[in-house]
Amino acid sequence: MEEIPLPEGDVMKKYKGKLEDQEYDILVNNSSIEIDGSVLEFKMSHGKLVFSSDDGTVEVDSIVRKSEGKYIIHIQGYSFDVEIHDPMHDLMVGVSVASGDVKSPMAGIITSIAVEVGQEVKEGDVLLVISAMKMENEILTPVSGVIKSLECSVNEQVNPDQLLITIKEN
Amino acid sequence: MFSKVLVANRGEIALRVINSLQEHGVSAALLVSPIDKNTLPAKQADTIIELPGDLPSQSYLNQDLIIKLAKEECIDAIHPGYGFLSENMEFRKRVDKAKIAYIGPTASHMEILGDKIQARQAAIDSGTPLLPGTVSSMNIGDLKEEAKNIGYPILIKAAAGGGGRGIRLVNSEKEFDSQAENAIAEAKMAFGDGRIYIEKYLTSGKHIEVQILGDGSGEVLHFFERDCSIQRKNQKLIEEGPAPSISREKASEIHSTAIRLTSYLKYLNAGTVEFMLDSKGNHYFLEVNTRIQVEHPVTEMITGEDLVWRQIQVAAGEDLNISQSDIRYRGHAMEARIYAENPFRDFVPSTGTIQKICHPVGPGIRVDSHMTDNTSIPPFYDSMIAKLIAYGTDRDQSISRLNRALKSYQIRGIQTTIPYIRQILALGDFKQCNYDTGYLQSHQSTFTIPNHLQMIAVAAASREFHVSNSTEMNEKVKIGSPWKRSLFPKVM
Repeated sequence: MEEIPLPEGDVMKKYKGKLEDQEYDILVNNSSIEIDGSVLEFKMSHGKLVFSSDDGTVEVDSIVRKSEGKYIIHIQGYSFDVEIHDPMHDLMVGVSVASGDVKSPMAGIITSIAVEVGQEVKEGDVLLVISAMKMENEILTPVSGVIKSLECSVNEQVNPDQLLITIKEN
Repeated sequence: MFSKVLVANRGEIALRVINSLQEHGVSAALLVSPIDKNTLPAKQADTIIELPGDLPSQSYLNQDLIIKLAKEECIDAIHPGYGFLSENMEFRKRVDKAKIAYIGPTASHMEILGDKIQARQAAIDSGTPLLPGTVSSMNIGDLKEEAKNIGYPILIKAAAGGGGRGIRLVNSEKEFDSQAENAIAEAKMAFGDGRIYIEKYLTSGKHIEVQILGDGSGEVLHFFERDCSIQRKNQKLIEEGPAPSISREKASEIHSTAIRLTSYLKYLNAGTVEFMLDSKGNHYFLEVNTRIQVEHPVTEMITGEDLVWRQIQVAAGEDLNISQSDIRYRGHAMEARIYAENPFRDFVPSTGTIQKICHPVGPGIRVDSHMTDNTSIPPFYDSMIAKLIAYGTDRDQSISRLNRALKSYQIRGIQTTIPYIRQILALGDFKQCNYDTGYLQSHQSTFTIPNHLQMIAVAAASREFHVSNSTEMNEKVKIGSPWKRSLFPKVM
């Protein structure tokens, strides 16, 4: 990779980002942002971030921090749930992100669990059902493998990102 | 007229009912769960009655407690709103027994119409056209056999359902069992009644419904119709009135059908008779919603009526002093339902806190919402946060106004259906009324987020993360955390 000179007193940091199911490699310092190899230019204008893109300038209406590393970004009437983490920092504090960890996508109540520890599952199988806002939401397994542990129980109230089930990937 | 009415609901509909009551000098008492204690309706009610828990079973579905509290508070009448206990016959009977008036239909109307299986029988008896389906309660095996006879696709619906809850589309026999089981589970959970029935699914159809009001004597008035064909997951997203794609002759025919069925039952209360309209223009009875509906403002905007108050009047036995010829409509109204959901990710609920909300204003705009800054969206209840209604002299004007208002609607901290609705409004198909109830489902790929905005969102979040973490680290350095020092040689 090409060497990017660091401005004085600034630190170039490498982050990982996630929006929907898409992962992004990010390089940031105080004056530029590079995402998956393309540089995004921005400036501050009246306290707001303004990016220049092929479709003209785009102003970021609002950035709301929901929790550590989790933001909701409002742009041109759209809202984006973005997660940012620092892999170096995660390494230091020992955060592991295994692909077989199934986390709750929403706050709700577990109404049923369809699997048991030791059971074999195929990608797309129903693991459990979470009832949120009166709707039943099926949680599917993201990977094929064997159920390693159940971290939740029926009728339990769960929060977004709470670990529900771990799967040992095949 | 009643002097003190208990509103047994929450959110925007609670606020809506409180408004009508207070406007007419009736004292409004409101039930509140702990999490709803600081909401707008709670602030506006004359009296609030606290409930012990947030779960619906502990709060807005807690029949024993609600009746006990209503008696203690000397309540004259209970308004159930929509959802929760609004179509619960058991509750209706218990309210009667407690000698409290009920703002809604009689128990026998609820029994017949609330049970969608019996409602289908009543439709047959009154000569109302309806879609092929079952008219008695059956087990999964028998239903599957019937489904085969009718031919797929079919819909599985909850007998105690309504408002789009507990409906499953089944395209083939192999999906039937699992879908039926899920439908039963959802129905048990939402209505406490797991009975289901099946109905032929019209692959192309419009949802047209007639707003009615009955005084219980067999006299039923209609307040024209609404088109609610724009639905996601069988939940309405955009409603409008009058229905733009049918002739006024056809509309009158549908009104007459609605009145025939409900007069036959001597219906009491405001209600909605729902129909499906096939591509040939035939209409088929779906169900009667025996409550005030979410989309009632559409009708209020074009007729100038206060339907909630009318509903209270008939419950109190007051003379309405209007006849069918007095009810006219003018112009066009359209309602957008704003849900706390991510519309671009299969409408997954977006819980959290609305940090800031700024409702739109301007000519022809009405907002029915209980949301204020720093209101949390609890996972226990419905995810609707606002209804935005736009009135125009014609459909084009109501679309432009709705679009303008949606554009200026600021809701910070959660995802909403706003950008998705704006994409619908911009479609040529929508403008030309070229859609049916399956449109959103079959055009899913039409609705996307501009890619460059996603990149910008990621960039904005990473910059925020970077700046706040650097600041945090600098703070740590300042207070003397030696291990960070090497990272920030210039800070010291």
